[in-house]
Order: sequence, then C-alpha cells, then structure tokens
Amino acid sequence: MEKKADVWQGTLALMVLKTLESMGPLHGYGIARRIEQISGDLLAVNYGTLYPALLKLEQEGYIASEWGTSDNNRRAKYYKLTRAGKKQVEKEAKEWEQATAILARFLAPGQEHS
Amino acid sequence: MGAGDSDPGALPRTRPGTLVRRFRAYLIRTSGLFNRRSRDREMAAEMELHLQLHIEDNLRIGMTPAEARRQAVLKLGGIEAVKETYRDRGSLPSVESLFQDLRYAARNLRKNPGFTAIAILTLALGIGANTAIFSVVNALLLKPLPFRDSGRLMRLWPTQIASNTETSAHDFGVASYPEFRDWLAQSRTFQNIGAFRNLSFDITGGDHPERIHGMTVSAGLSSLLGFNPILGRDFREDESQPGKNHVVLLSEGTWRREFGGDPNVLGRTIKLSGENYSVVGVLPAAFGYSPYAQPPDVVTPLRPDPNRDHGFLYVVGRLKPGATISQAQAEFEIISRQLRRQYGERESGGVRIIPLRDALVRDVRMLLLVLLSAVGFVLLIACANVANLILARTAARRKELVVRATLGASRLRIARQLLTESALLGLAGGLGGLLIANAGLRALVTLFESAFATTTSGRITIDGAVLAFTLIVSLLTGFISGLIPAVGIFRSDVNETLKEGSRSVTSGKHRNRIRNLIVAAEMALALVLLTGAGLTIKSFVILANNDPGVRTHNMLAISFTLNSSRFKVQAQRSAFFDGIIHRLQGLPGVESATVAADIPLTRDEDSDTFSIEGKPDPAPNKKREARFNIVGPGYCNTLGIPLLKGRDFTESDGPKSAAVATINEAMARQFWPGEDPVGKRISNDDKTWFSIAGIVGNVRQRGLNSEPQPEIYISYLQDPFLWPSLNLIVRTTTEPEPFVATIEKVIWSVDRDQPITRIRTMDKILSQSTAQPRLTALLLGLFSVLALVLASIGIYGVISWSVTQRIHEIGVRAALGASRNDVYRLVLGQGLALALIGVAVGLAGALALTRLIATLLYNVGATDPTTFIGVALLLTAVALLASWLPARRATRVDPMVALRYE
Repeated sequence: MEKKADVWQGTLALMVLKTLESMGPLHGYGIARRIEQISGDLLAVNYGTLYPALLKLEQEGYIASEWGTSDNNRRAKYYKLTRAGKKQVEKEAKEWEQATAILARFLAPGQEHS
Repeated sequence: MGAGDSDPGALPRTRPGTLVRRFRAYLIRTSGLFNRRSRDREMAAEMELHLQLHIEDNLRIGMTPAEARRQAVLKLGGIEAVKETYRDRGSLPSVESLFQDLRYAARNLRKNPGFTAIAILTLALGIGANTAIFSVVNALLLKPLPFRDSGRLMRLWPTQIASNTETSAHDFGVASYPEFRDWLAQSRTFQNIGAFRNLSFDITGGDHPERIHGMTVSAGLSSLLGFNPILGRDFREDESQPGKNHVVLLSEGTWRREFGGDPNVLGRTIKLSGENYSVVGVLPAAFGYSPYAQPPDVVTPLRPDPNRDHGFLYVVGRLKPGATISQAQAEFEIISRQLRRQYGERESGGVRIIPLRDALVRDVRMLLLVLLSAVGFVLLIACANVANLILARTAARRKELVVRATLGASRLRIARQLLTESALLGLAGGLGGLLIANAGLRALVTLFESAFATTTSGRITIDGAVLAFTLIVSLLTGFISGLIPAVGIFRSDVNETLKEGSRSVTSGKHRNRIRNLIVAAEMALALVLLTGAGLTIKSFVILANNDPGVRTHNMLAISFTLNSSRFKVQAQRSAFFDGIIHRLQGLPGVESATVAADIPLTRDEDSDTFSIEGKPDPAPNKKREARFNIVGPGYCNTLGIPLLKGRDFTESDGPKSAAVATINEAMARQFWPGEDPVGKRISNDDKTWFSIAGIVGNVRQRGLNSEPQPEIYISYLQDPFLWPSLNLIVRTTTEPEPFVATIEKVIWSVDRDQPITRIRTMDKILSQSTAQPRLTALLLGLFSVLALVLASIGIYGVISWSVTQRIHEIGVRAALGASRNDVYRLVLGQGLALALIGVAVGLAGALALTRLIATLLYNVGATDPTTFIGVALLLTAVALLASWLPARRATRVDPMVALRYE
C-alpha cells in the first residue's frame, strides 16, 4: 500500500471549509470522504481528528450545523459554511496561494531568487 | 516579494481567527460545561452514523461484514479517544476536572461525617474568632471615617518635650490657642486647620434642667470636616470676638427638640448656661469630629485665649489635595522649631501629624493588634489540627489512593484532589465561622463600647471587606491544612505504600514524624498564647485587688457644674449643698452625703503646685506638686476613708473660721518624712494659708492603676476659687440605684434650675476603672483557652492514632510480660516528649513576643517567671491528660486480640 501523507497541522480546517464551499451542506463522513477524493487518495484523513476540528470551527462561527435527513433517510448532522466562513476561505486560500507560489519559486529548478 | 496584509513569512494555517472568535469559542465551551449529557448523546449519534455510512461503503466495495466494520472503526481511530478529544473541545477540561474534584471531595466528606464535622467545627472556631476580631479592626483601623474625603483629615498632635516636672505630663495632644493660630497662619500643606474643644451647657426651661453636650469650634471647622449647615450658615471669622460670640449652631436633634424643627429658627435665641445665644444655623445630625464620641447638641464659636501654656484645644486639619503626611510633618518640624525659638522652652516640643482616623482609635490600636495576632495563632492551631486529621485520614485512605495511582492518576492529580477537599473544608469552616462571628459580634461590640466608654456608631459590622477577608482566610486555611498531606503524596512511593499496606510494625514512620512535629508546633503556639493571656490575667488580678482607698459599695456620685452666674458667692453654693444634704440625710436608707470635686478613680492627671510655710520653694526645675481636692464636711466618713491622724472637716470649718486642710498619707510621707504635719501651713497662692488639721488614708484618685499622689483636701466652704465642678457623694444603706429618682427630686426641690450632669454608682466607676484590662484579659483568656482545647485535641488525636498503630506492638509487649505501668510509661512518654518540645519552643517564642504587650500589662513584667512556669506546667499537664486517655486504652489491650488483629 502506498504511503499516504498526513494532513498537515492546521490545513485540515481550510480543507473542511473549502469542501463545504464547493459541495454545500455535508455530514461529517461526507466531508471526510470528499477530502480524500480531492486529494486523489494521497491524503489519509484520520476521521477521528475531523470531529473536534468541526466542533472548533463551529464554536468559532465559521460553520454551522443542523440535524437533517440523509439520502437514505437517516438522521445526520449537516455542516454548512457561514458568511464568516466564506470570507475566511477566501482569505486563507489567498494566503496559501501566496505561500505556495513563494515556495514554488524556491523549489523550481534554474529560477533566480528575486 | 509579494506584499500582503499578513506576514508572508509565516506558514499559512487556519488561524484561530480574531480574538473575538476565540472568545466566542470560549463562551460556547463554558456553556458546554452545563449541557454535557445532550452533547454526549449528539456526538454518539454522529459517530454512529459515521460508522454505519463507512461500513456500508466498505460492504459496497466487497468487504466481508466483519472486515467492513473493522476497517471503519480503524479508520475512525479509536472511538473512545475521539469522543474524549471531542468532549474536551466541547467544554473546558480544566474546569470540568475541578468540578469533578469538587463533587468527589464533597462525596468523600459526606461519607466521613465525623471527620468532616470535627474539621469544620475546628476551622469554624478559628475563622469565626478571626472574622469577629477583624470586623472590629476593619471598622476602627481600616475603614475611612464617615467624613467627606476623610483620608485628608489629620490630627495635629502636639508632643511635649520631656516634662520638667517630677510627674511626667500625660500626652493629651492638646494645643493652646496661640499655637493653633500660629499653625494656621504658617502652614502651607494644609488647606485649612481648625480647633475645637468639648464643652457642656445647662439648658433650662423644660420639664427639668438639663446638661447638654456642646462643642466650641473655630470658624470653618464644620466645612473642614466636610459638613454643611442644613439651615443658615457656619460661623464667621469675627464671631470669635467678645461681643459677637453669642451665636450658636444647633444640631439637627436640638433644632427639632427645642424649636420643633421650625424653619424660621435663624435669629432666635436659646439660653445656654444662663446666657442668650442667637441661632445662626443648623448642622446635620451626623456632625461631629468622631463617630466614636457623643455628637454635640450645640456648637459655639471658640473664644481666643492668649495663654500659651493653656493647652485645651484639639486641632485638626485638612491636607491640600496632593499634599502628603510626610510633607506636612516636615513642614511642622520647621514651624515648631521656629516657635520654640521664638517662645522658648515652654512651647510644646513638636507636632505629630496623624491621620484623624488613627488618632481617634489610639487607645485601642495596640489591643486590637494583639487580639488579631492571638486569633491568628488560634487559627494556625486549628489548621494544624485539621492537617493532622487529614493526615490520619489520608493514611486510612491509603488503599484508595494507591488504587487511584495504579489506575493512572498522576500524583499531581491526587494531591490536587486532597487540596480540593481541604479547600472545601476551609470554605465550610468559613461559613461556620461567619455564623459564629455574627453571633458573637454584638457581645464583642458591647464589651468594647463599655470598656472604652464610647460608642462605635454601628460601624462594626460584617461588611464586604470582612466577607472578603473571611473568604480569603477560609481558602488559605483550607490550603494550609491540606498542604502537608498533599506534599506527603509526592514524598511517598507507590510501591512503598503498597508494601506498607501489608502489615508492618513500623508503619508510616515518616508520617508519624510529621504528625508529631505538627502537634509540637501546636503546643508551642498554644503556649505563647497562654503566656500572653496569663500575663494579662495576672496583671488584671493585681489591678483589681488594688485598694481604691474608699468603700465603693452603696455609694452614688452625682455630678454638677455650678454655673458661675447663678453661684456667684460662697453662700449660694453652701445653701445649695446644705439644703440637699440635710434633706437627703432625713431620708430612710441614706446614711450620709458630702461634696467632692474629684470622684475617686476618675481624676485626670493634672496637679497643682503649692508652698509650705517656712520651707523655701524648690528649684524651678523641681516643682512641688500635689493635687487640691475640694470636699465637704464628713468627706472621709461618707467615702469610707480612714482618718489616720487629727480630724476631718466639720460644718464649722466655714468661710469665717480659720482655713484648714487635710492631707493624705502619701503627702505626709513625701513632704514631712519623720515629722508631724498636723498644724503646719500650706498654700497654693501664698495668700490663703491652710493649716493641716488631719491626715487621711490614700485614695487612688486617678484609677486603680495609678499610685496615690500627694493630695490636699480643703473644704468647699473655704474654697477661695469657687471651683465650679462639684459632685454630691451619697452613701446609702442598701443598693443605691433605687435612690436615684428620689435624689433627683430632692436636688430639684432645692434648686429647680440646676441640671445634673451625670449620676453613677461608685461600684460602676470602680468596674469601669478596670474595664480595659478586664477586656484584654477576658478576650486573650478566651482565645488561649480555645487554643489550649484545640492543641489538646491535637495531641489526643496523635497519641490515640499512634496507639492504634502500635496496638500489635503493645500486644506483643504485654504478652512478653510488660506491666500496665510499662504501657502507661510508653504512651505517656510519647505525649510528654511532644509537650516538652512544644513547651521549650513556645517558651522561647513567648520570651520574644510578650515584650510587645508590655504596654498592656500592669505591675507584671513581660517575662514574669511565675506566669511562664505556670503556663508551661498547665500545658504539660493538659497534654499528659490528653495522652492519658489513649494510654488507658492501650493498657486494656488484650494481647491475644492484638496479636490476632491485623
């Protein structure tokens, strides 16, 4: 089995937020599966760490939760992005882009340091 | 590089957001403390769904049901651990564990009601005593006075250069009028300086004449103290001048009583001691310079008195905003040095600037500090007792603690658990202490008020500051009590403890040592307290056994001030007193009556100079001093003073006959040693010469604690100065109190305009004379008995615990032929050793500390050997008694039972 990368400290929250932004309301299991899919199964989400992270985001007001009914008619807790969460996604995404761009410049072969 | 609004160097991550977001999370987590159960249910449902969905997915990709479940659970990563993290995130784990500790502690304490009750009662007694004494300290020494911006109010306290008279002048802190004016003119640090004195007035016209309380004050004093007239105005500067000074400010009470609260009272007149005063204003009811003094009924302008030697004024000042006491003090060093240079030696030595609040409680400060330390000692002993109880119980709970430790509880957690328990005990003790203090405070206040003959105006209460003090003391007490046992947890080794759990003759050696140390410390503390109490009690007993020199029983003293406008000549005075005395002597139950200027035991410390005919005056720096006392015929007989030689005054020693005097024994001894003074002549003004007619016994005129001073008695019928303050002394055959109404009636039948200042029984005056030492001895005695009881409970507990521990050993000894006496010796020896260590340390402590109460003692040295030996013996005896009970139990040990017992 291929060795999968662990989720970096702190990035899980951004992934959760981004997932909810693109997918709309989801339950915890759905979020976990979605993150794995997106990462092309390169990333191993320890499902256990997801729930405290969700709780924390909810306490900070970036997401909200609501009990609803799942596709096969089961009661599930659905998470959705709040307005604060939406802003936060944009802000963090921009910062990540910046950071990765900078790192990319360092790592790209033959590129001069500016 | 790309500039952003955030630090581009930092690795981006999901930030906790702004502080607001973090705070929001905190609030939600705090609320999470309370809905734990529903949260847990939700979480379980969420996990359950997660697992089911995952299992279904796994089945769909072809796993066996068992494998599908295993993989799902694996992927979730230990469901209990997840729940735990989730739970922690959902609320505040540190607070949760505190609640847990508290719940556990409460359950534990409930499970051991005996231990809990004793511990709480012990702490409640200690904390209660502290709360009660602190209430008094808080009200008198700490709380600001109830005056506007009272922190800036200072008392200007003149201090005397070492007095050049033989008897050192008592420091009253009074200033002369010119001094006051000089200070007012020269000071720059004070916004204003004012002076006043107390003064009484007669007021007539009502049902019967009254003596009312007044103050005579410098202009602006009321606004200096922070009061504004509720009607009219304050005095003007020029109203101190003769001709203009017959103006008066009424208290609100007087205004309502005398004028029915008439709003048009301004400009009306009131007759005070026979003179008319015009009302210029009304002061609020609270007006006064001290909440501990009777508020004045009327206030008049201070009259100038040019005599620099005549100190009679209390001077107060209000510091300018920003000025400090030390600045004022420095300024007054300069001012008084300059005044000394200008007016010479007679000017007072200096001026001390004392916050008014402190000046008002000068007499009581020392006593309060001593009492506060005493109750502090009691509380320490209580802590030690409870620490010992907890230690004993920790030992009994060893198994439980070991189990918790082996199950993974950290030592810190266990120590915290123990501390939580003792903190809970402390708080419960604090609550009990508040109840005790609340119950005892009224009695305490009454004791204080009567001992210091003052009012505390309801200032001594359990207020917020006292509650805060009690809370802090309770927590601290709990912490101190639990500290040693908790620290013991760290020192003990789990394995060792497990082994000790099995039987061992020498079990818990280390713990034994700590417990012994604690008990020895208790003994030492108790000894210090006992010594202090012993010294004050001894000094009180010595004082109370002093002979006042008069027979106080069945005697009444009725005080008057004879108004000079109505008693201009001698004949008016003698008519007044003769009339009363003759009528009284006709009454059944009245034995005799006479007149005296000084009531025994109550005189101030003034004295007079005099000349002896035929003896040169002494050098100016060695005054010849005695006190003149103006008395009536039959003085010695009525007061029960023995006549040692010659004769007492009779009615025939009148204004027309030869002037005679009697002197007391002290006077005869000091000025005519080995001679017979009878027939010698003395004078206090070198005009009237009194020939000595008799020698009478000494009377302690200034109080039981003062040695009799030389005293010269002259008859009021021959008094050249018409001394205005005279008392009627009446001796009755039975209890004197029922005679008061009759005597008043007789007095007003003779003169219906003469007010009575005060009527007291001599017994009450005698008891008042010892009230302060009695209070000190009583309270210190009470606290030291409490300390002794607690300490003996402590030693009893330790010895009895140790007997239980050694029951096996004792059984073996008994089986091997040890006699009862051997067992007694063994157990009592341990108690005695502890007591002796405590006594030794305590004696050293007492030697160092009793010096501090030397000022509260009378005729007893601070290191009085009898007291020290006495309390050491007492403590040892009590310790032995407390050890004897468990020792007796030890002697009854049946060797067979003890050997089987494990």
